[in-house]
Amino acid sequence: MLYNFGCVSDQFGENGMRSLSIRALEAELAREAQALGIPSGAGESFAHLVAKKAMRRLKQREVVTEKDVDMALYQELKNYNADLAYVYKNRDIII
Amino acid sequence: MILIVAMLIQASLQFLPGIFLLFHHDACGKYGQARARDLGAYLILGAGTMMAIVMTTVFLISPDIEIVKWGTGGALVALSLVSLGFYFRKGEGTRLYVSRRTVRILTKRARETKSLSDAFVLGMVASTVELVFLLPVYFAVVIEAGKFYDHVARAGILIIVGLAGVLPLILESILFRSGLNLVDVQKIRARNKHFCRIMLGVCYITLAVLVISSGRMA
Repeated sequence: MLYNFGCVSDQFGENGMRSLSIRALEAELAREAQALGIPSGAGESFAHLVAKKAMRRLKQREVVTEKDVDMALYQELKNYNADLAYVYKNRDIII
Repeated sequence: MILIVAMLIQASLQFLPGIFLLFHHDACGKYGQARARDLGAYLILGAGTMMAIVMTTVFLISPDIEIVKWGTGGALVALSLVSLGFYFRKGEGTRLYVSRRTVRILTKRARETKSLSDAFVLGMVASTVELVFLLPVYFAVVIEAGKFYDHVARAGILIIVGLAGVLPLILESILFRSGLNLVDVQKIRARNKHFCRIMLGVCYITLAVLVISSGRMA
């Protein structure tokens, strides 16, 4: 799946791409944090910062794939929460 | 003995536990623990139902002839080699032999599952993916069950062996209830993947020997 940078949306655009934004990444991080049982306050405290830094990293690329998003989030999450970072690093190799 | 080995094989297969793991994690993130537990229960029910349907079908269609026994034995030997060599892909994690496209479709479905009926169907579909590894085992069980003349005993054997297929899912569900999360469970799976691979190889070859020699001993 390819991404483009745009408004907050989980919908696929006409070109088959998915919009990527800081708020979308934040929402995803919050969901993953809740799934791991991380208290919502703690999750929210680093979600915005991580999403912002990951977005900065992703904007350096012309084409962004799902794997790129996962790896960018992993690189940033390493400093904040090891469990959440593990999820993004290993999501594709569980099955 | 055949039944115990068949149950061990069913409990060692890793596709369904992988799907359940991702499914439960995503459901927890979206709907919270309580709803994830309900959805997980329905996924287990779906997988169990599908296994029961397949096993009953095998029981009904399996003719009582020698060639079935030899065919099952041969398939089990082949599966032993396949599981030792290709069941897990090389590299980190617990990636399986299953095509990436199938995995992508099923993980996407797992992520988008909302209702209990969706979860039930996902369980049914996911359990068909590993049928290649399960069908010869079911034939072996049916051959063994055929030695009993009592219908209740036959049905009991099929139910008990069928339940072993969903045992890993029930175990994962218990682990989630006890406070573990995807990371903890996945680390356990990754740590034990080589043990699982060897266990599968040894169990398949043992089952092949038992099936082929079962008629002679009787």
